[in-house]
Amino acid sequence: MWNYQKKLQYPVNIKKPDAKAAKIIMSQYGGPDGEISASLRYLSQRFSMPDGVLIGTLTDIGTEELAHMEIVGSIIHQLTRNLTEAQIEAQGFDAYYTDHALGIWPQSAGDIPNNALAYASKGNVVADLNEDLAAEQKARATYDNLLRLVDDPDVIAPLRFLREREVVHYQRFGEALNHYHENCRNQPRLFTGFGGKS
Amino acid sequence: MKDKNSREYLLQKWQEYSFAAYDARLYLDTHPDSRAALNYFNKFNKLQNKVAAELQERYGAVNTDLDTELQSWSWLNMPWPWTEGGNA
Repeated sequence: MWNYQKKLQYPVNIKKPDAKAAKIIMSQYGGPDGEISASLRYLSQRFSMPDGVLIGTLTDIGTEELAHMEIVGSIIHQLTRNLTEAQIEAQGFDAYYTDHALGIWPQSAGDIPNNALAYASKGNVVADLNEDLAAEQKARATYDNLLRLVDDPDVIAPLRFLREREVVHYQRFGEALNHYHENCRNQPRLFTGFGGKS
Repeated sequence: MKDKNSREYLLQKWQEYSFAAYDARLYLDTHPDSRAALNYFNKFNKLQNKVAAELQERYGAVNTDLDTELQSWSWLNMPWPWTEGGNA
């Protein structure tokens, strides 16, 4: 069950509209390695996890990804707010505008709609956690790409925060996988305690 | 000197404390026996709820799970987090 708190996890205050930047940042909203993909991946995988460490980690990281989805949506909204027709055309936003106006829709920078094929939920702990490690690196790499392409410090600040979080999540998933290997393998599926070193 | 009763100040503190608590939460998920992490989580969880309750009482609902009584359904009030004035 989710509770919504009326704030962003990190502030977004963008003063200068830039539809060109919005179009590429769109990938972290609805792209293959974006925040929606991440949250659906983790929140789906958690159902088949065998213990509280794994369920809790996937739940809490998946939930944080929803908060990140919101930050990215806010960035895109603020970058495209109050655009004139001339700006829409000049900044290469007219194709997206045709179908969505200034609304936010989950697609990649390359116009591919958000696709569940980009995220796996194998129902196998080792496969799923390795998927998650890769996912965090893909997201981090995407933020690296975006940070190379944008100049506005108001945009850079939240993107850098989001990139940092991917690095932290990668660390947590590594620990979760270690926990599984140390404590859960060759154990009955309902194992909930830890035997190994903490 | 920043006004400690202003919406901007309270919102910024709420974001800061809340983030600290959330990061501690993720650490606890893979280090559940860490007493230091639990103390850190408890400290910032308490602070975030305290400042959110103050924000809510002065400026309108921001987290309806909090133990404060609403005088009106201020939940709908502008700004929302991505709109003008939504962040400090």
